[in-house]
Amino acid sequence: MRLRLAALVAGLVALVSASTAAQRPLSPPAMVIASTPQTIGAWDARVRAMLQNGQLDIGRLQRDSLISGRTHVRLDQRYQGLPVFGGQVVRQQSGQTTISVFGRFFQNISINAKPTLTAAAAAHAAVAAQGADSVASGPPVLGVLPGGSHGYVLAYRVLVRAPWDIQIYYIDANTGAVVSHASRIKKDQAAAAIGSGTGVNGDREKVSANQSGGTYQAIDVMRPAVTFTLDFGGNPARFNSFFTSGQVFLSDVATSSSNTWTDPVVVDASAYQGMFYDYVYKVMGRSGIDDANLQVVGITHPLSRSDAGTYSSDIVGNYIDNALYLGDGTILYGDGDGQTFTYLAGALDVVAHELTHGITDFSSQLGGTDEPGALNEAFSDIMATAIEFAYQPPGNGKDQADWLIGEDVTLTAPGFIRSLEDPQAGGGVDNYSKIRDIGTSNDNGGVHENSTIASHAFYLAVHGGTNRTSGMSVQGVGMANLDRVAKAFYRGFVFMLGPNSTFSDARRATLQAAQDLYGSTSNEYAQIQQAWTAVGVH
Amino acid sequence: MRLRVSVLVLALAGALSGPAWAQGTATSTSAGAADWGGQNIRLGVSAGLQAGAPGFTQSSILQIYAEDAPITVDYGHKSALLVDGSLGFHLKGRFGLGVAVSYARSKVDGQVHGEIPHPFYFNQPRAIDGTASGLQQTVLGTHIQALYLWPVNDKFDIMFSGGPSLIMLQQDLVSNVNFSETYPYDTATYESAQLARTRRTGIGFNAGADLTYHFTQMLGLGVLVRYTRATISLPIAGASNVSARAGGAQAGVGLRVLF
Repeated sequence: MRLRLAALVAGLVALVSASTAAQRPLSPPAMVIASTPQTIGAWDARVRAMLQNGQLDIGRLQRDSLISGRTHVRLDQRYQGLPVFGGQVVRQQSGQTTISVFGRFFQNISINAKPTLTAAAAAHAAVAAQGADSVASGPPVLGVLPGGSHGYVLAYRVLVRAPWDIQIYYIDANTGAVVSHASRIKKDQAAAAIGSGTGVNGDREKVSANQSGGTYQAIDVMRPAVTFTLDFGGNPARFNSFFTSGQVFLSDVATSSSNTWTDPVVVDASAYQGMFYDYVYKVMGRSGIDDANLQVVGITHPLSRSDAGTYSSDIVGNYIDNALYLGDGTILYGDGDGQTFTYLAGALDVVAHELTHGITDFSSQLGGTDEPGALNEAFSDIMATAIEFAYQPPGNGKDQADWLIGEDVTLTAPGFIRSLEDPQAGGGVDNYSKIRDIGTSNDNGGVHENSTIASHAFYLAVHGGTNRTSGMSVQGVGMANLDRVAKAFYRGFVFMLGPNSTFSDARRATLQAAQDLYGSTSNEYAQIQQAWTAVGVH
Repeated sequence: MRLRVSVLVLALAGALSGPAWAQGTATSTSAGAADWGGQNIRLGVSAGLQAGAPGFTQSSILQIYAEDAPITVDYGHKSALLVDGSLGFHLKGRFGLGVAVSYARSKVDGQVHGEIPHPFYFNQPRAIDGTASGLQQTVLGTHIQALYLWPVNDKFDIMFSGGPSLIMLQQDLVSNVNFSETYPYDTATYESAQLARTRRTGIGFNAGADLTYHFTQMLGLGVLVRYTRATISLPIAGASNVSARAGGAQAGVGLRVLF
């Protein structure tokens, strides 16, 4: 029976992989923009020209929280007034002077920008494709999607909420066909943890609560960004209702009658969400996920671990043995099935990892597949590790800081999800020469397994060490200077990368950031440069 | 405790005056009265200063942000205006028995130091320092005195006194602190103190002398010096009582009336 089931699952996986791969459009050649001191003048002039002729439009302006007076302007690519999905250029400015330009600009677009399909029809097509109990959320956005047999497709982007999932669909604006779709949920496949006024691993944590009458609510109102910690009580009906409506209620908030919190998951989720905010604020100068104090909603006990046996492996893998960033400041912490993972909120690095996806969503918008997806995951691991070292003592025990991800909640060998120190030990890739699964549906193009190329570079730049594949050694800046390297990576990833950035872009961006922060002759610049070289990224 | 004091006073009175009370009440011109200049009762009213008793320290543990918050307050000392009234009875020879009541009131400052826990993290206290001003301190002493009169000459005499004292101390203590803080709450700033007025009575002692210049047989001007002290345990929330010293050196000038 088990053999037949395994064969059935394998067959389904192969079928799903094949169909998903078919849905992935091939991207046309894009103009890669990564300025150097020698070319910045030319790039600046070109960007200005594109702005004047309407090929670029100012999307968002972000103040630089690390260098006073600097701003980063995100310029979205436009074609006949429509957005070109994924086309974006980021220009760093000091006053009127352009310091750097990074991004992707899609070229040679030549399509009819008049759709034959209405927005309502596109929404209907997306909902129909997703299946029963799904609804379109928000108005469809008409734009140019790179890909397809003609290089570009006029398409509607439709957000669809469905049971257990949130999907982004691209619907052909002329035929109504699904061009591509992908889950918006960014999940940390490896992360899974369970916690315990005392956290999951026995650590004493403070819970910033809100008193309402004789009840204490797990609402942190002392930090500038209000943070809610919800308890769905493992009720699948409530969880599914949330997924389809996107609504949460005050009645969902975890409560205590005495302010002595007895649910370790709520304790850790609340405390770790706060630590994330504090680190990002104090070290990076950023006000929360969106730099504007967006409220954070952490959902605990979405499904009960005791019911794990009643759900499909997909459900268990996604919502019990997992932690997810759902978008718009909402995070979900699985209970863990108790076999593979314990309560996922019990790991500071897991919580910080997911919240960092929020920063990415509100800044570079790195994609969820292939190299951009791997960078997205890497940045989350880098921030998670930096935060762990900021708030936990270094060591190998529970609730101690190390270079592993998810070690506090992983119950099976090797006892962690990823290793920044030794990526291969966790099944990850440690050198760009070994990058794998790009363009496939496996791990969305290897986003988790390839992420360690960049996060290992961070490790080497800070701690120092030797890359196992290249054999190249890096001295590192030393642990005392961890935050200085973290700032350079944060600056590069948040301000300079875009939706389609590659590892090579990340190298240039972090070096540009290090140069901006510390100078091109600084040790930080040298160590980051050597680290990227050691992991094979040039 | 009060019973023991009463017994002590009665015993002292009995020892010094027992046989002479009958004489004293029988005639005011007895041989004993002659040793007090022919008078049996001496009434005194004085005004002056009481030097502050040594300061004391309050150590309290408050609960702030789910954590112990140690607070220490060093109470200063300050001279206080003194009003004193005394009544002495001649017992026998140069000895007598008296009672005096002194009242002193002042306002002192307390130096406050606190370790305020961080709202989000254990074991990350933030130091605050400040001054709690205008802490009222009132000392009411009732002094039971054995008296000994030393006639210096026709115009001057000195009355030595000593004995137990009941000292009531009413003291403003710091019961809590108000502080200000802003995110990320790495520092806190002392703003003010919340006060609680406490009152307790303790047993101490007094010893002094009163130099009197006699204008007439019944009227004089006296200069009082006295030292009185008691250690009193004051209750305050969050502390295992505050041990305060009350009293101090007293000096006053006033009228003396003799009967």
